Amino acid sequence: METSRPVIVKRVPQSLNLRQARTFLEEVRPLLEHDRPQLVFDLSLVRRLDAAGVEMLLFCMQEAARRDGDLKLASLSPQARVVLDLTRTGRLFEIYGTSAEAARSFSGYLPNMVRQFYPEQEDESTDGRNAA
Amino acid sequence: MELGARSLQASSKVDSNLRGVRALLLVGGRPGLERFAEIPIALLDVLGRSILLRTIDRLRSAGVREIVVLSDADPLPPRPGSGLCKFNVVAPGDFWNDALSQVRLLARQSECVVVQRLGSWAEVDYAAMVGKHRSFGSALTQACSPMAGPLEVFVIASNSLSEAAALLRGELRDERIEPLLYETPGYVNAMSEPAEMRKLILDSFAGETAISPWGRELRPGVWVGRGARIHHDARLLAPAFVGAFCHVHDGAVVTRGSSLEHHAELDCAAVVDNSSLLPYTRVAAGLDVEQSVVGFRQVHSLQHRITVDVEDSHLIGVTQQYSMRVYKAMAWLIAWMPNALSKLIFEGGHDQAAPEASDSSAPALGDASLAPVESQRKSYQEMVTARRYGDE
Repeated sequence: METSRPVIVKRVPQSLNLRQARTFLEEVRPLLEHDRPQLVFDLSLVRRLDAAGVEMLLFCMQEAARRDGDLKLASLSPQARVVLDLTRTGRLFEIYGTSAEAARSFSGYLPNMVRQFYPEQEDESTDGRNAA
Repeated sequence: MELGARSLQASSKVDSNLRGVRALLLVGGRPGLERFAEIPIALLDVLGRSILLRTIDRLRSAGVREIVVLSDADPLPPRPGSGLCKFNVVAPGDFWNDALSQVRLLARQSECVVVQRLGSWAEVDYAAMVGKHRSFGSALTQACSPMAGPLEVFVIASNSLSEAAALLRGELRDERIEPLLYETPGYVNAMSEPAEMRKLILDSFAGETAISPWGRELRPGVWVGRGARIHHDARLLAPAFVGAFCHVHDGAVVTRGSSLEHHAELDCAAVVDNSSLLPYTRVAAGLDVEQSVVGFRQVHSLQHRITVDVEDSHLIGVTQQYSMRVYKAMAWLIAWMPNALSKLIFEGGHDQAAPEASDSSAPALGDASLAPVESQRKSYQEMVTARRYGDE
């Protein structure tokens, strides 16, 4: 039975090299240490991504998986997409077009975070469910 | 045998027809366009040889003896030999004025001048085009293709320099000029972006162009340039091209019409699928290059139509050979500078032969030049040793 555990959407900074990857990891580490963390990284701002950045993403996914949670990626910038394809890591993540879609994918019910930020999508999905 | 004699006759006929014709090849002239990593696409290798060199080959085989190249960017090494053409690099701002000056110079000694801007790869029959130009007594003839429309290939009569001036001042795009059109049935590719470069490579593999890969056909559909090192566990799936001095490591895969230009390196288990690696490009182990043109620390994805800078040398780098050339050039400069400075200070800087004396081929000049060469060699060796320890 799915609960209303929060889905946390985190926006990844513009550049993700070794130094910034470390800083970002320090920011998200407390989120990864929750029980069954549900994380979405929004990569729409990313313009530079290197091997350290990719490694940090993989580390976050691994940590989330260790605690029965999951990390999903959303809104990939073309630059991020190219580097993930190049390193063959794109296929390891679930990737969604928008953060809302990624958050919705965690559950059949909309989590509180998404309901708060995207009320119109909540209405649409409720209407759709009622119609069905 | 008869066929050979006939083709020889034909070529000698072409030679005599174009003996009075000079050619000017323009590379660039449109800042920011038709480039990859700031380098004009015409200067990048396509299956082992650049569009510029291939065009020079075509002009020479048609019988054009004197060819001048005007470029707004330095070519990649190896630079076209002086036997092939005169290569001039000019500032982008002066490009078209210099082109006009060159046309005026060439027109003095010739009956007509072929002016072609690269860019595009156009398989024009120069002999036929000049033939039409002559038979119609035209001042200006332009090649055009049924598929691509007007091409930037012109024949200008030597006594029509006003047309040449109007044409070049308008950067070959002045629509008020009405040239005689020569329709060419040959293959044309605009080469304005990396995607078109890939198309040219694939079309060449398919035999639709006159371009043949610059190497030995190791097995059907797989061409390998000289000095290339390919691990026996690497897989090359036809059609594929591995250029001169490339290094393909264990488990690497080159497939679906991919090309590796000279000195490229593909590390262990890396895959190049429907892509091109430009000269001196190193792809790190395990990477998957798919539908891309990669080089000079940039990746152009054909799928996403975007060029991405990859500054991380753990992913895309420059091969050791290229770095070694830079180090060698630096070592040469460091070795030469003290001599040159001391000469400048104590001898008033009148000795113009200093660079030649420091060349590695100096022993041929006599015993007097051996001492500086030895000292340079020693300092270079010291530098190499310092680098090695530095790396350790």
